Amino acid sequence: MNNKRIDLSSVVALLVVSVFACISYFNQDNAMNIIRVVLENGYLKSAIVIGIVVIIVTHSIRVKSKKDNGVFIIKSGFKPLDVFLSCGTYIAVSSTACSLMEGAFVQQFFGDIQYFTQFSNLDVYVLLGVASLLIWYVVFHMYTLAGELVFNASEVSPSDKNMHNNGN
Amino acid sequence: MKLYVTAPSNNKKNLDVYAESRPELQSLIGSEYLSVEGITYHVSQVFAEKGQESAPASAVIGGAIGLVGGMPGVLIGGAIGALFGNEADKKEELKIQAFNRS
Repeated sequence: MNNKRIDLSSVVALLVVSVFACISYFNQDNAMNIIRVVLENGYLKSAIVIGIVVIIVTHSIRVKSKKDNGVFIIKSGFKPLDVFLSCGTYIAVSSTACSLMEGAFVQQFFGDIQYFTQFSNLDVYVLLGVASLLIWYVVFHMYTLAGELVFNASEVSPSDKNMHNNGN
Repeated sequence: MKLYVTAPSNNKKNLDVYAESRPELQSLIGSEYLSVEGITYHVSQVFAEKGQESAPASAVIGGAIGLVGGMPGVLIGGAIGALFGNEADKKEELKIQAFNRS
């Protein structure tokens, strides 16, 4: 009997990445121009910032305080402060990364504006990689938190042995 | 990782608490017995399972960000994203095993 199952989510991921690769290969100029517009007009930055605020605030309201598995970067114990500081940290990281990515991308692939005049080509490529990694980190973390929001979790309360023995 | 109990009707009930082990869960709840939707369970009846697959989503995020580097960027971003996601999945698997052994 064949017990091998197809991992649907991996297949979908493979297809999506293939579509991205095809788009950027067959339509490189248009893709680059669109990315430039997205970065220069701050669409990516705005989308990430809105996502961060919505997800962190919703998560802090909906998921019980007991369930604290690394949601907040800073844990002072006072929830509103934790939410504020966590939002601030994620926003600072992602907006800086978007700005660095914009500068490195425009300088390396268009060359009409020189953002980093004293940097060598390698430095700018590394900058692009690091900025991408930071954005990946923030987006992936938000995806994880959003995933926790969609689970339909039941509320837990303490009980005692008598209730257990009575079959309740 | 998510924690669950199996109800008498064989339905899994996800819990809104998070703990790395059963003793930690007991300490969080304040009792070795917990009530979920009116039914009382012992902490030994709580098990952990995988919450969500990280690798596919991570690969897609990596691929999308890699668009700034053209076709090679998408492939490299997708591959690195999948690697990181796979690593996160492995760590989660270890946490699940540790909880279920505790």
